Amino acid sequence: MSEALLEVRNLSVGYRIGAGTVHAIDDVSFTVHEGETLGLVGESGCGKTTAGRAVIKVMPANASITGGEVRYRGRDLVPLSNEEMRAIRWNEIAVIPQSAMNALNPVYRVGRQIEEVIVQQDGASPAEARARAEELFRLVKIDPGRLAHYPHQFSGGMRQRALVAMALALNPALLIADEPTTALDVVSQDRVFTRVRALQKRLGASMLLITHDMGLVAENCDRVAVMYAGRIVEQADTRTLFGAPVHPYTLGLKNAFPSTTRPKDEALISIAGAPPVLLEAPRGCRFAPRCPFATPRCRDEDPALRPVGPGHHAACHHTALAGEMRARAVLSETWTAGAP
Amino acid sequence: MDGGGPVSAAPLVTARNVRKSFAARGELAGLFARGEGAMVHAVDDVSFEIREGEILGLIGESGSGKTTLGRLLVRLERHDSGSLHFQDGRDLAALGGRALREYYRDVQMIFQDPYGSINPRFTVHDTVVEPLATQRLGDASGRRDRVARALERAGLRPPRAFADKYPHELSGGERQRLSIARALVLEPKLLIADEPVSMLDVSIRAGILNLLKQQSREFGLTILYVSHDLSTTRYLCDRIAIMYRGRFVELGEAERVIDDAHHPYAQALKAAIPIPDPEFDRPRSEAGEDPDEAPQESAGCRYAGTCPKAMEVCHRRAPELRPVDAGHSVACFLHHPADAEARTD
Amino acid sequence: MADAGTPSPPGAAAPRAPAPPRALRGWRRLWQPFAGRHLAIASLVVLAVFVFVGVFAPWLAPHEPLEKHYQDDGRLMRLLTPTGDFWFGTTLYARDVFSQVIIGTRSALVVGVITAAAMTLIGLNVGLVAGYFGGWVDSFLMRTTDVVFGVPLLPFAIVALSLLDRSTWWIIALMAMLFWPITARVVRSQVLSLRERPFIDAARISGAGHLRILYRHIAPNVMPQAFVHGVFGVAWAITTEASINFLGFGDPYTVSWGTIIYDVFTSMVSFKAWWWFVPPGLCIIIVTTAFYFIGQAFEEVANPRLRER
Repeated sequence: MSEALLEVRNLSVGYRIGAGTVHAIDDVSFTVHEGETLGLVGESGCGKTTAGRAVIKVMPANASITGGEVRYRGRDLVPLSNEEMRAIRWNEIAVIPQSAMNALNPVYRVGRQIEEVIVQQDGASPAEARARAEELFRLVKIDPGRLAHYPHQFSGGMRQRALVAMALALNPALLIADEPTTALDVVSQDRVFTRVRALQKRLGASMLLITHDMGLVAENCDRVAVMYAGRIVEQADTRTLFGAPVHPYTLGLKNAFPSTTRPKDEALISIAGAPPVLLEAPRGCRFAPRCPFATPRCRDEDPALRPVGPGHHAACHHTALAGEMRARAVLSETWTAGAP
Repeated sequence: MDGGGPVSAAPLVTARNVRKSFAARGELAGLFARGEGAMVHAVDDVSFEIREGEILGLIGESGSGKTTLGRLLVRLERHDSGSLHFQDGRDLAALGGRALREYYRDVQMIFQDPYGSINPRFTVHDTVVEPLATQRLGDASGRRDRVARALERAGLRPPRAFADKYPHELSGGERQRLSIARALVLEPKLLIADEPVSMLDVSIRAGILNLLKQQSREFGLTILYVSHDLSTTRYLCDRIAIMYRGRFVELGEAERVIDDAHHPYAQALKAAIPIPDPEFDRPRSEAGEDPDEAPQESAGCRYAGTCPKAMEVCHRRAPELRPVDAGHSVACFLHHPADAEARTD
Repeated sequence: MADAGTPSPPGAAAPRAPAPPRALRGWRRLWQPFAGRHLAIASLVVLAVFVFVGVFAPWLAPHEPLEKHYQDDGRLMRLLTPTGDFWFGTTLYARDVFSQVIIGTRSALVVGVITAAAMTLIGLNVGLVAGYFGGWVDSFLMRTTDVVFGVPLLPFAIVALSLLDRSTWWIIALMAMLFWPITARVVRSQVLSLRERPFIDAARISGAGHLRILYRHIAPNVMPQAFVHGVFGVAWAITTEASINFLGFGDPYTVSWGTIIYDVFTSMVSFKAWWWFVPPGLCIIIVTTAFYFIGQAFEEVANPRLRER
């Protein structure tokens, strides 16, 4: 396996809300190797976005890293000052955000916004920056003449591509893509993401892909970490995760997702209940209240993320019964019987 | 015109050449343009039927007019021209006052946003009893029973446990079920479901889809399922219509339309969906124009500006939706070469 | 989010604020604005005392407020400093200041509450109708609101009262007529956003008419804001009424905090007889401040943007 570019170790992040603290992510560890794409999947509120933001330390005012390390090329980013972080953002780690409309300033021309990043971060001359921006636009297949336009003159797909160009402006080694195409229509989604992939390959960059879309993960990621309620519950290479998952939540997700390639009469399952509110650390496994395979032990004892195969980790007490659970998880009765 | 196939029952809804346009409201256009301004044809010359007991899927991207079409059917919008008739001959254009109120006993709607579609100041019981109150149906105890039955039917069980809760105490999935209960309490014949699962988490989507499926199978509820998502539509629907910029481009039996898409847009749509199976090698097309970048108006096919297979005729005339097969219609000159040659004007 | 065509899971960017575990109902819901807010709680206690005094004023006042007190030798007991008999001393006209302040409490609260209720009623309805129907109805009502908003209150009240008869009821009516635009504007802006929410569409397709949508579906959602401004309105009304009375345009036969101070002022002994004007003055300050703090507490709950700040 190639060298680790980003190593997140036991990271915890809390949001102060009113009187309490919501532990949005709790003791999360993952690694992104050189040149690889790691998928961070989960549903709304599972902490995947928080994890991505914690890596570059761009977080809302009421959030703070409460523990753990974020090692980039061996150097821990958590204790770094804002000044030091600024040197790392764009140059080393760049973000493709979810909403292009909010990420671009509506009162400046798109070209100026990209050139500014290049000038500020790279010390390039305005002419160099201009040339660079034009090259980037050609790479994401937008006419460089469009640099002179304002964001509102762009279509949604073009705005998102402009953001991709901006993220790539300084050849970062790591891209953090947070639901990079969710705001787009299906066809634009595919086209934008195809561009992102092609450019990533060309630059040899690594990517942390944060998404709820299992299809995007299956097609683009080398490895996948599944998050639930602030924890990573399963981590494996993509083929293993889709082919032989062991955590009941992954099993549920897999059978909850409709696909145009599935037989039409195959029933989809739905996981009853909703994720816990993370105001206080829940007792036992966080998925236990919704898990059809939960035993008293699951409700008492918090399962640790343990190896279950080569490069495959899962946080479940019953990984030994994975085969049986996998067979039963396909049936919708499994998920409806007894569940609240 | 329609998707063909043996028409077993009288259609519940018959739409003929329905059009609806809005004044264009761009971010800047709104600032400068006064009065006349450009019109956007949200629904442009659409004809179709909704058959009794079926689940018809309406697929399209944002701006395709699919939501507007759904809203026309519940008279939240009025169509400009063409005709919309309900089963027993009621003309939607002519409904008003009492007749309109009674129409809503037959046709109901559920919405995309599970947060915005429920009054935050109403309890679950208030929410579901409201349609009975406005329709002046039943007495207090009769209404209580009907509310309980609707909650039960929507999967909020036991109804007693939910009746006094406020929306903020419910999860997204439960709110969507509440929305469904509110629609079902009047025991309508037709339910318009506008993107009912797109804002829900994956793990609970299937619950709502299965619930809708069950309403159709067990109670014969007719459903118009409006969505941008091919996978859920294919899973749920008997027939599917694909809309592009206000027009139907393809209509037919669900599996046919998805698995054997004819229209170049339908094919592009299907090809663009990532498949949640790492073993599956999806053929990728190299990025061309984004569909939303193609010019807006033309006398021809709306897709011609983007279509890789566009012919000269496509830019001049709009193709009509016509059968290619039993139960499968397409609006494309590629599949109706005779139409392309006929009456060149 | 307005985009109909794309799935965007709610709250994907940041964890949603946890919903309260149970619905706050009844008293708990009313108490919610005060939890942990010491100033608001203190204000509530102060107000409770004033309300008690106002309700039981005739029994609490040791003397008739307008009764003149005489000494044994028949001379008037003018300007006595506070004593055991007259806690706040007496006026130039030998009346008991304490009794006047007690009776004035009742009139201040009655004037404040009635004015606030009337202003809320007018403002709420104007705001609802203007925001919901829009178009020329909105334009007409909002231009009217702007005009009324621009009328300077005291000069207008003085002119009006010198033409009308000087009763407390006219003062209340004039204040309500001039205060409602604030409520109307706040309500209208809320209605503008509420009417676009899908639950209004849902109400429409349940067969509800305009009136039902306005008063059953929309009104309960704007009540908290209207109520907040009503609470502030009580404070404005009390100060304004006191000012009008102080200027001598009030009803000469009612006893209110404003008329007490008016009496002090016109008697030209104001600098000597501190016991005469300090009690009513303090009462005005304390009661209006209490209403402001309570209004503020409610506002923080009613207006989510002010929360967590």
